[in-house]
Amino acid sequence: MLIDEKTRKLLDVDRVLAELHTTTPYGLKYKNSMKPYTPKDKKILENELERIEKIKELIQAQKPVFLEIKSTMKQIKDIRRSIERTVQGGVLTTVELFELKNLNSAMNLISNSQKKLQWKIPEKYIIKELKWVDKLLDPDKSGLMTFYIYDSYSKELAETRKQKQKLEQQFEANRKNLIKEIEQQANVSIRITGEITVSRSNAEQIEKLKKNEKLQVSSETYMNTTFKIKPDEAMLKLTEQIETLKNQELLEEGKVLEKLSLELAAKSNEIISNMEALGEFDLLIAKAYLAIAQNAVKPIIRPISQEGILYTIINGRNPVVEAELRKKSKEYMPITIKLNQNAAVITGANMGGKTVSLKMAGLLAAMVHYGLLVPADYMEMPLFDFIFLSAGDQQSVDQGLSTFGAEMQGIKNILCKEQSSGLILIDELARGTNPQEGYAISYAIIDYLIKKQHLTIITTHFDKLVREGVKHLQVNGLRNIDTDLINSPELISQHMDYTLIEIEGNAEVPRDALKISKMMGIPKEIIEKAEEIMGR
Amino acid sequence: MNLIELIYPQNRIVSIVGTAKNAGKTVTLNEIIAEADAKGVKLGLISTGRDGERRDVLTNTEKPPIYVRKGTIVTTVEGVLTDASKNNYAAMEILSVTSYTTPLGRVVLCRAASDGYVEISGPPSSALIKHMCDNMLDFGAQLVLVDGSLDRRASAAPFVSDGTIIATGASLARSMDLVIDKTLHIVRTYSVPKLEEGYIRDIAGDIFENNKTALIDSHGNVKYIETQTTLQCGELISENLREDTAYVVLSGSATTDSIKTMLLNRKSDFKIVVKDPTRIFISAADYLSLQKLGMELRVLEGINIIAITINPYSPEGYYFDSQEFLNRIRSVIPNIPAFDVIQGGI
Repeated sequence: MLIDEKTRKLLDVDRVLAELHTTTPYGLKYKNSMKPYTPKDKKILENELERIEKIKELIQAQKPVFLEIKSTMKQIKDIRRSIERTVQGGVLTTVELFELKNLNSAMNLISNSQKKLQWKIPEKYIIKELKWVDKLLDPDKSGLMTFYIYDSYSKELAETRKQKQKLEQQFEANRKNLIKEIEQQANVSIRITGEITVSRSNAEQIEKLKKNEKLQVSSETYMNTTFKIKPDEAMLKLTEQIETLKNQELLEEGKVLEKLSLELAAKSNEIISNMEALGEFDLLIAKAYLAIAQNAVKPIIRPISQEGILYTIINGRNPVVEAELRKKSKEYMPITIKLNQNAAVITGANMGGKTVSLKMAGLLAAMVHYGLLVPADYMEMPLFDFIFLSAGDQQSVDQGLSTFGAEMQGIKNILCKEQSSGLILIDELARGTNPQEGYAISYAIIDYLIKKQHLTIITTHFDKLVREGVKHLQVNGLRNIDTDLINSPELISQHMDYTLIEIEGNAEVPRDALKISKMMGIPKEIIEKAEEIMGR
Repeated sequence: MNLIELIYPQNRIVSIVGTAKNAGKTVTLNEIIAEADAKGVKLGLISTGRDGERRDVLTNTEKPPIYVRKGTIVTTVEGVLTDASKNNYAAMEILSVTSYTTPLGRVVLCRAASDGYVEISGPPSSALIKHMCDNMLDFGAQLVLVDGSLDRRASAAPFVSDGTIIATGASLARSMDLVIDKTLHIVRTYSVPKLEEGYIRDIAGDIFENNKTALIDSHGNVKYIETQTTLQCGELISENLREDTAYVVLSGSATTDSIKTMLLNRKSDFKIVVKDPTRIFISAADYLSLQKLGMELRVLEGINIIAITINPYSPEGYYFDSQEFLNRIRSVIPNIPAFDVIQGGI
């Protein structure tokens, strides 16, 4: 696996992907099956990144076309299963045909929008106008978006319906005549439904109506009697004929549905490939919109060279943290990391954002692997075989491993990956054990990793992990600030300079734990004691 | 006088609400459909209940089916359309498929392509029903009838329908006296007077717009009260009542408990305002005692009761004398036309 589950979670990869808003169910399907590109997909990934960049430009240049596309996409429903059913010999219902008709019309609209784009669209994104579907589902060329089993589908059907309607009209005319006749004859008023209710108290009338051959009793209660008109011979015959025609109509309709389904099945691949193109196109647009929202750029993919791994992020921003800060109307301070060696350590002040910077480096690399533009001014990197982050792993601790045990277990798995090139990020290596042994094991691990084709970045408080072949980055921290004036976490983060500066030679790791403790309000007595011990 | 003459063309969306099961709602609906057909009015039909069953599950009485003419716009469900066994059902042209689902599939808007029986359905919320009613008018219906189920009185809400027909009948209670009392209570509740003061109406309208509960004092100043539900809000409102409180505006429902608490804690005379009468949930007995406590209830929008239809039969086997029932309803509710749709009645 290119990015293991734990790393994925620690880097917030899913939260970034959640910001990728596809519009259609087809696009969503592609989004959900997104997998990181591997080093051997370099060319494919580069093409993808270029396309996103192109769409990003087009959205800015031809905004109305994209608004058009989006609003059409919003109406699109997932009817893939209906189409697949036709292939297995299934017969579609009128509702399914209605939906296909609407989908096809939406596809036509998007196809037209695509033609307006100043872009030579790669084949897999092209949505084709399927004129034959229009013709099939709108045989009368009415242009309406409704659907009905139209008369023009079958001569037999049209004839049956015509007959039936004629007889129904005749029946209705007969019924009305009959009502009128009875009303005149018996001097009563019959309801539109052909019924008349008479109270039992009017026994004379009931007797009279009971004798009327054109009426029949439909219900009797202890209070009244309801009569219904009695259909005459001609009406009965008509009813029978209408019934037969109705059954025939149903049969003919079934035949039409079967025929339509067969025709669709024969060319279903054209519809399916349109759905696929739509899904791909939708996801591509979503990636471009995300890039615009994140003010992201196209990263440059470098080959892995023997001289060291070129890994550069200029003014990179962690999009998840940036979004959180923006909610609190705070600004994210972009971080620049320039590496050309196989290993680097990040040292510096507590609360100096070492972990955030480390995760940013990992998240941006993961985004590149997922085929996304990156929130930075510039980024170059090789494609890795894996990305691994080791950082306070609460889950394993819960399972009974100690902090140190869990860390070593994770690192062991990575050290075993001999024949590959990975991005290995370790937050405060060996912090969970005693400083002497922690330093020793850290030194040895770096020694081991330095000789591999990995890029290793480690945050640490240990002195002397820096040496030949290891780049040293340090948080600028609280330099040149009167620490007496700062006494709260908010003020510390306000005055903290998160910038990473490159340290040449054997610089010491800054000592500011006491400074920070003081600012956080630890009693003076303790601070003084600690200073005394440090002085010894 | 015919029902249709009272309904059309004065109203475009009319709900039919039953006071109880088997109160004659479907008979009323069929009567209006038949009259509309005779008058040549193009109908749209929608229901708030999810039922499409021909048999009433609870009482096992046969529900009268609904027969429509070609051209009628009908809201129905997918499952009914694809059931081939229903050969005397109207053929349907599909106009739109919604995303609202029922146990019988999605709700679908159709136009009857032939005469025949239909099963009416609809989406679950009154806002969606209103939306679909408008759709039906767009598709060419001249009058939309909303078949309101018992537990969905909200279809009578003025923001959904222009007018309401109340179907009441013997199934509501064993004795005619009780049926008349209960019907009268519903009519009274639906007829709670409208808030008249013009500028207060504007203020209250804004409060409802924001879905908030608030007090308005005699100078027109608004004090919003943060309440989660109106069920528990009586105490919260009471704490905020002052000597100059003139109106209490409730965005949720008016219930006996909350109103009683407010009245017992009042420091001034105030009117209680709800959005419309479907928000009032107070029984007849409570209503009287609250009135004695000084309750003055107002609505922002009233319900236009077009007519009352009665059904003297109960499926439990008892029935009232139709003429007496009709006469008594007419005498206690003299200002609203009443019809016996089962018998015709004079």
